[in-house]
Amino acid sequence: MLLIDCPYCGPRSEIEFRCGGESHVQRPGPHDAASDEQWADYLFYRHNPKGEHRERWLHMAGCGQWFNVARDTVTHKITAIYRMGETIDAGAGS
Amino acid sequence: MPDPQILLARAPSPAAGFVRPTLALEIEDIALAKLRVHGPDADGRFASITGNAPPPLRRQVVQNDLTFVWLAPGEWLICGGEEAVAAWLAQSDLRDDEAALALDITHGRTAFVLTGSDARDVLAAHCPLDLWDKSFRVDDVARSLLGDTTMVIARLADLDGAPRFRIVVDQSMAAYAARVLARG
Ligand SMILES: [Zn+2]
Repeated sequence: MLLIDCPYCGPRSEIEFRCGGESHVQRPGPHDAASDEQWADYLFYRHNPKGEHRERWLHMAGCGQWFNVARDTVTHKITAIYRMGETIDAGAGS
Repeated sequence: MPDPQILLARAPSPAAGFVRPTLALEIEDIALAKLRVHGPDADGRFASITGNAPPPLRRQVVQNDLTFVWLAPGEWLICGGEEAVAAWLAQSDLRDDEAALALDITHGRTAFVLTGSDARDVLAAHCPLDLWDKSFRVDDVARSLLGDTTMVIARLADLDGAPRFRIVVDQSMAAYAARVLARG
């Protein structure tokens, strides 16, 4: 069980949250300039790193807010938590 | 303006309370409203609507005969007597406001008060929060899980040395919540 430090509610149990997949996925555009390959990449392809992964989490049973988590996919260690719209440098969490 | 004399008809809650030496569950006869404010300065709008500073994160504040409970950024629960809540809704009058919403939600929720020396143990079996004295003080609040449903929980002042919690659940889940708490 992970203990996730919601930026609004503080540390809460993983069962209150939902993982929303990879963070910082950019929609290609303008739409008429995006190739099929770019569009397919946006819709279907995600990184699957062994190590630090940036992902979106929703505090579903709590405040209902989305935020970003940097989590190691091997150890599950959470190294950074930051709000939507913010970014952190690669490896900044570790 | 809504007439505060005309109070919404409330269906009786399907849940039932109980009283034991170390645990009591009581259905609380209060009205509930929700205030939601969109935009960057939600706390500033809260102050202009209510005339008071908003409760800090994860806290509730009592102002006159109403309790304002923090739920999320830009979202608050307002608890109080039916007439006080109706009067507050009438006076805040946000019907034409595009960024703020105040709504009576009493008919959709059931409020309980859980009291007794066993209250924390019973809640610990069904809820992932740490509700012990050091991490959940009087007037701390949280929205979390209660078994398979969600709840808003607020710690009220202790009664005879035993903890007391207000628990608000969806009315359709109230009978379930009462069963879960009765089972221990
Ligand atoms: Zn939260």
